[in-house]
Amino acid sequence: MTPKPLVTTLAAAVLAATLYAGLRPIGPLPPVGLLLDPVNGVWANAGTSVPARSEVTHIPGLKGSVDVRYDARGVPHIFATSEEDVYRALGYVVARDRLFQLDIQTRAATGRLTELVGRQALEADEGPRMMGMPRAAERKLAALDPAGVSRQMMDAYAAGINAYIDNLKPKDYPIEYKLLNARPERWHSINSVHLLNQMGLTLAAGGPDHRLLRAAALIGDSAAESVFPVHSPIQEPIEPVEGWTGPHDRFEQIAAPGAPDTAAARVSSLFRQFEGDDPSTETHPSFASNNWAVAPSRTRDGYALLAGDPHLQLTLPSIWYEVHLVVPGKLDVYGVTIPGSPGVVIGFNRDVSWTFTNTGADVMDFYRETVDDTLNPKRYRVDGEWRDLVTRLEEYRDQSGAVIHTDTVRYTHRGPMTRDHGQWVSMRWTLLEPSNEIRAFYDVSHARNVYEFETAMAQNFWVPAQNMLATDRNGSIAIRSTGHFPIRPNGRTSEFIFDGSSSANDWTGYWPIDKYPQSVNPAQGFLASANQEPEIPESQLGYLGGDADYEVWRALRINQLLRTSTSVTVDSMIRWQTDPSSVRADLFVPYFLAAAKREDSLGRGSKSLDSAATLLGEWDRKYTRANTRAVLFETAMQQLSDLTWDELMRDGKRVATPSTAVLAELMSQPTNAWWDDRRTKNVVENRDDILAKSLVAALHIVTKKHGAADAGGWRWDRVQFANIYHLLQIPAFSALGIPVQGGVGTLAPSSGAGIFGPSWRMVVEMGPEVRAWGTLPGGQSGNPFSPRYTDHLRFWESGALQPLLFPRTTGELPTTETSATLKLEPAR
Amino acid sequence: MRSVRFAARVMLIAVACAIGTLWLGWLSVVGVGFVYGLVESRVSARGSIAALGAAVAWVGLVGADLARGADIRLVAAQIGAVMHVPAVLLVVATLLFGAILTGTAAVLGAAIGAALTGTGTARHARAPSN
Repeated sequence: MTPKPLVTTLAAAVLAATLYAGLRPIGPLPPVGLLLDPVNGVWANAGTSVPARSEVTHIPGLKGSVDVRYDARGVPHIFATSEEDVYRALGYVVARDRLFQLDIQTRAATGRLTELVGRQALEADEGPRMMGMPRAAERKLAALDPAGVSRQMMDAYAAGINAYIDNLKPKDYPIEYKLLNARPERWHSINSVHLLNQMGLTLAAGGPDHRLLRAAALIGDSAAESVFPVHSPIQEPIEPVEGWTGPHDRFEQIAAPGAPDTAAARVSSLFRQFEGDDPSTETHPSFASNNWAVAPSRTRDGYALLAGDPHLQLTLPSIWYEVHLVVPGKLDVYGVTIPGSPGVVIGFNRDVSWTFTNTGADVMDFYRETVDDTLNPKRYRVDGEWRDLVTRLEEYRDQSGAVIHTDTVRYTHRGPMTRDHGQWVSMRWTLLEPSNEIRAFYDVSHARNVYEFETAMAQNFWVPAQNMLATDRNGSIAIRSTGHFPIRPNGRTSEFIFDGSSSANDWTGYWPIDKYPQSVNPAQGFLASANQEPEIPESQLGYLGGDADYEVWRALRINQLLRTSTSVTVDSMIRWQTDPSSVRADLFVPYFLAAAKREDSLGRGSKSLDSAATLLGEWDRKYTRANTRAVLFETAMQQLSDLTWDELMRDGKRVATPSTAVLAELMSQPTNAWWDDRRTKNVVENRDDILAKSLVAALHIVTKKHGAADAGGWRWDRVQFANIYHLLQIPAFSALGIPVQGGVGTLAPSSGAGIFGPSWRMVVEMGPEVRAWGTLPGGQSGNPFSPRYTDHLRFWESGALQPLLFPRTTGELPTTETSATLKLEPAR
Repeated sequence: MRSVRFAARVMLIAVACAIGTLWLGWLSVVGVGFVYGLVESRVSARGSIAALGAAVAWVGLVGADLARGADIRLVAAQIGAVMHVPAVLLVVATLLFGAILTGTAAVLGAAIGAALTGTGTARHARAPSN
């Protein structure tokens, strides 16, 4: 039967259209054919979601067999016969679980996202390149001894990743590559440096407090320095202070808002990249890591205990990858690694356990440079002499490899130089200088006590500065804020930008190690850090920077818990990591209640104020998920902030928000001029007026938004969530709206958008046999279809930790706890 | 008998499409459909046979993953969400995609085959009517 011409024509048209759709990308989606192909398309990823129970693979370069046992939590226990092999195997298993993460994070760190997603990533790519990060990584790698331990680790790790990539068939590509119509890129050793630099960017990009500048531009220097002090008005530092048995106030009279400072406004405009303050929030500390250790004398079982929960951006897959590395007689370390970088960052071995919080030191300075040509400078002047600028051409490419944009980045001897508002400014930053953190990770994995740990870290870990807490099996506990802290020639100056024409303004070195904030086996029997100022200002060798980004409340709460507990257990350590109580609430709630009472006694009360005060008074000051009063307090605090800091408003937005520690300081000055709401004419408000107003406004807002107080809408878990986004921000691959315990200022604070939080929780008991517990906000696998993608999330969400298995040999890992095995053999 | 022949043809196409997809990729079904159309240019319902064969093949290939424990439902739900379509539509789209490619290629192949041989009479095999 001959097909009718019409049918044939129609068939040809449909076939052509289907082929077109199959071969050409449609909008942001890749060609349909690549996606729907049942063998190589998205369906194939369902097949790769369940790893084989048992697998044998040959990889080049191995010296001996490597036995990898995945436990029931999906953690690989890697048993090798040499350290080189163990890191090669580590690269292989990390790539197996997290290949896309390795790739995209490296591209983000090096400003090469355009090669994956095209021109839309150009702005994001310019950031790291203009800050000189790719060049810095190259210089760091070049400075390493080619035959040294770090290079050997990085090279072996890279070879392991590449062994996995080389064996990969298109059908096995992670789903993200298929959605982006891309393919994995081979790994280079330098990528490990890029990734550590990226972590450094996250944690050490804090320069001087630019909020101070913006505030000074509006209210003058004196008032600005009062509300944005370098040192917190409430102190309980990391390094214990002799004679202190609790926090100390350093309250001073806060200067009234004054006239604008035009010079500050000019300088402030040079730092547009730091204008990220959200005027709608009271404060918004992004990161909030905690760690604490308890000496045997204060624990129930007589063993040192350590707890750590570094707070970072929450992502799926997690920022961390959990591993156990064993080379009999040489290495036996468990902990979390940064995918893409060899070495356990936070963890424990048979003798020592360790964890970090960020020090948040100011390690970034800016210099106004004198150049020979404003538009196209080739030289800059220092001490009356011209010096050549180093230039580097940065090329940005799209998915096809075509150059879509170029930048020329210029460098002075200090660092990269950029032009803003007609002014050339160079930057010196510890992150851009040679360092060898990977060597530090290697050394501490072999440490036998806290002294060896702290020494190893101080020798090679320079950036980002961390509060490194350790405990050992001998019962010692120790902490040291470790990293390169610059010595400025004139200490800290009020200038935010130094005169680059004089070398006298350059750093003269770094703090000597013995001057680092530190403590070993303090008399109090515990140590704690929560990003607060590491030592009291009087003890600091020089300007270190402030802690305003982090607030002091968590530190106060941890110390409060530790101080009142003389028989600490593992369970209490775990419970405290999600402790719902808030010292901040304990401080502010009474002020609100007293203000309401006072207004009432003066005959200025109202039904709303009475209701609000009654509801707030019912609050147990805990941010549990079922709590129905925390929302009122948080809204009242928001209102209090808005009404108090109205002088910091410009064009309808607040340019900067002082910390709540400063607000607490202001509470002690009930008639300070800051309390006056300038928007009300002919009335001068005092503290209690503003507190009462805030409380009434909060009740109105909360009722309007969430209904009546006990109708269910005020539950904390209906208001505050954790949101863990996939690396490509794909909602279907994300875990959103997770109800969590904790609020502003608690040990597990939930930020406004809920995208930051504890990226790893760990508790270790340093008994005769080391025991540990931990969990991640996600799982070990980066495959969104794998059951291991989010299998730890329910533990994380509830605040529970899972026991971490720490077998000495493969035989010590029970079969019931083994979910899969992988045998790596040398390639034939 | 007609049904058996129809089913046999469908299975034959299915096997060819499955092998082609496994070895050469999704585009191979176009070739399978076209060749089938050429060879059986006088068979009625060749487009339907080819389309059905491709769909069966792709169901089989996806089903093989399912049999190995793969969570096809999860993939359908999540990729569907990425593409803003219901999960079931993603499954249907996959099968339709293969079916349309193979079926239309078979119709084209038949037209060319008929033109080459200059014949126009149906030889046998019609689609079964239930």
